[in-house]
Amino acid sequence: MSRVSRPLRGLVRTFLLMDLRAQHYSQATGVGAGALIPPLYWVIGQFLTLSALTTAALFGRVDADFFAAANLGVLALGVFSAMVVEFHEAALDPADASVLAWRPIPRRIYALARMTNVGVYVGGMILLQTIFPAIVGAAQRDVGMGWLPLYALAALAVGGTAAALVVLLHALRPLSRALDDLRTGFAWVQIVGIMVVFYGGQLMLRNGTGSLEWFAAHPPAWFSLMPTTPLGGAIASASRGGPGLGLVAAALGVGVLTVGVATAQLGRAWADLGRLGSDTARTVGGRLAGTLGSGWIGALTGSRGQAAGLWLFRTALLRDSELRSRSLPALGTGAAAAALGVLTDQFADPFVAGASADVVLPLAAIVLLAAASPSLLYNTLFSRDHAAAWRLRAAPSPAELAEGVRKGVALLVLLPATLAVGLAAQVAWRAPLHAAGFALGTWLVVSLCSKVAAANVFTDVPLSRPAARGGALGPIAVLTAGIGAVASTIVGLLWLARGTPALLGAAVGALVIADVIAGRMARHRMARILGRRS
Amino acid sequence: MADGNAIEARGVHKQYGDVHAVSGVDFVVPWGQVCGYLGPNGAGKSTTLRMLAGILTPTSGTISIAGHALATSPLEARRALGFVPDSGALYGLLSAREHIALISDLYELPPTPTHERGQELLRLFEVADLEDRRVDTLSKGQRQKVALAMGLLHEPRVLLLDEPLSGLDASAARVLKDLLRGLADRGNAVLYSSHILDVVERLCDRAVILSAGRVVADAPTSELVARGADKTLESVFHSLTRAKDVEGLADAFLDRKTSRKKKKSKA
Repeated sequence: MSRVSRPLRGLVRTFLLMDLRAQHYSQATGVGAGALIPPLYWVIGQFLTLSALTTAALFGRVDADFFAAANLGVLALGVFSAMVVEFHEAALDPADASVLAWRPIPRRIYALARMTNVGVYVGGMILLQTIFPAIVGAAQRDVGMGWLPLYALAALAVGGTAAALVVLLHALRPLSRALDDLRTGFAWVQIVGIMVVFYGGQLMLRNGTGSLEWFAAHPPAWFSLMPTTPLGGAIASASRGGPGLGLVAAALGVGVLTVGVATAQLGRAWADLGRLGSDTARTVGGRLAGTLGSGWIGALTGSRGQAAGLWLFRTALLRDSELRSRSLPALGTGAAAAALGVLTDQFADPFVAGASADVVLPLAAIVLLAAASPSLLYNTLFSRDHAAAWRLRAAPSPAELAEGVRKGVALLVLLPATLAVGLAAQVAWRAPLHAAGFALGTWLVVSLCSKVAAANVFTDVPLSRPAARGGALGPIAVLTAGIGAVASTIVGLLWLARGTPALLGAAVGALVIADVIAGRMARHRMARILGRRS
Repeated sequence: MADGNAIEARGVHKQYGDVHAVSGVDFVVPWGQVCGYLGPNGAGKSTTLRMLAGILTPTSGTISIAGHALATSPLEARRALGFVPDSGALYGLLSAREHIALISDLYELPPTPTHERGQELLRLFEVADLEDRRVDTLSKGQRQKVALAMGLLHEPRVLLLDEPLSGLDASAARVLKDLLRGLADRGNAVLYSSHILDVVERLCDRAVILSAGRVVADAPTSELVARGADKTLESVFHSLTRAKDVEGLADAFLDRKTSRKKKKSKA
């Protein structure tokens, strides 16, 4: 044991030390007061908030079976998403290829060290999402003394299994082109996951007539297929001294087995770690002839600096799976609102419907799409090629580059998403004029919000920062909430004005003017801040 | 000392998709020699070195280091090995002192003597005073010196170096060359990959020249030099790698630029 323990200890200590230091990049570079809180603190806050909200929404309104199943489901989704987007490199870091891969480290030692590194984060996430349901849940009427330990064990099993599955998928085909595709797939899996959570969440929020209680008492067939459903029932039953202990033990067994298989696969990946830095030769960009500002990019941008920014964003989006997996899930809730609204026949036309609950989802789609813009823009600050950003900083106007990136996010991501929402409206309403008006309104709100967000997000040159664990999920939360509030207010005003054409026209006109002013203010602010930093 | 040669590569092949990066490379490096490993950009030198270091698995072929086959006894082979890659040899977030502690743990070396040896190596390359600085805050040359010190820390008997002089100042380069010569004279082996041909000519006992993933020459350096038209390794290198005649290319480029400017000013 002592033969293996020293290398293991050394590796674990090193990995954790580096992770903690990477958290302090913001302090070291002083990118702004808002960035002084390490990214992981924001992640902690988000997980605690999510768990507290779920617990508060369910406590005293549903039975213990449903309470446990729903909270464990949210935990599994949270851990899975965070692992996919943020923490997968804790399992297999490309930097290890040249620093460690030639050292005499047994594969099981490397795998154990990396799994311990992952375990620290996953353990934290599980703890944060277990505190409220385990403690508050113990006060439910239909649970016994054993609730707290049983729920904690089940949470460990569910979270551990979810994290190990991501590690397993990641280690199966490290950083090959196939994994690039897989990661984009993960981003969409996450979007679907968010849709499911959102669907449940909006049911809870809209339940003025006890629909949550009804849903919990008569769950649909798919609910019983979720692995956390029987587990929730087992925890509640076993806590009262009834049967179910075996199922909790089986869940723990599955967790241990999945972690074991993931660790073994990680060890196999270690044997050929050099693949992380290797790739087949790829030929790209063959049609460029000295400028990025020709063709459609030139037409959409006002300067060569902007054209370069838009081109850089487009290229990064196409070639960097990391950027896709970090930013695209932000579209999940907006997509969820539109898709679920159409699929469940709750996507009423706001131009003709009265104040019915069925207009909530179309209006929510606008707000949620607008609220995605801070995250989409914020993630363009990070790049695996951040060391090359000296060239961007040295450009005559880094603010023009940032404006180009903003246009890229708006035109290549948010505009297609807006058109998709408009298409959803057309499918639901069969009224092309109304759908077009809805899409136009969505775009006006989204465009304005993205400009306000850009003014606050671009405190540094795009693609210039290394990603730290928790960086994509965390620091943008407050701005996202603020943008969401602004978007809600605007959508609310548009909703009130919908019945009076003159009033609606004035509101749209005001929105266009606000959009122009916000654009100018954003460029002015970016020029001031980035000019000072470059 | 293990039997056989320090490094043996037999029929080593590496393929990425349709690209053959290395095609059937065969060579040996005996104990007590510094062997140059040469080739134009993209010839497959770094890929070979990464396979010899056990970082990449060959598509086919066998490699042994200090008599230990990499495929079957990877830990024994790696224990004998020191490797300084052309980039990314260190974690940027750690200091040299922390790297020493990590390596000491990985090889299970006694902590105090290992730290003393580390400091000695850092002193040798004149970076001892930077021992507690994070590597990502060091200059390129300072990073290279720390990387060399970390590559030598566990007293490897076989050294693989990829462009080791990159970024080094003149005195550090001199120290490194003397050190490599001394290590070889004491029975160790060094595989030295570089584009600086006159250093290879003076330092290396033999040279392996690679072109398009294949070995095109493997002979004592003196023998290779004797084959050259003007008795230099450079001329042999150019003839064997079919490099085009580079003499006068820069002048021609500058002349074209000047004539374009003249035309513009006339217009």
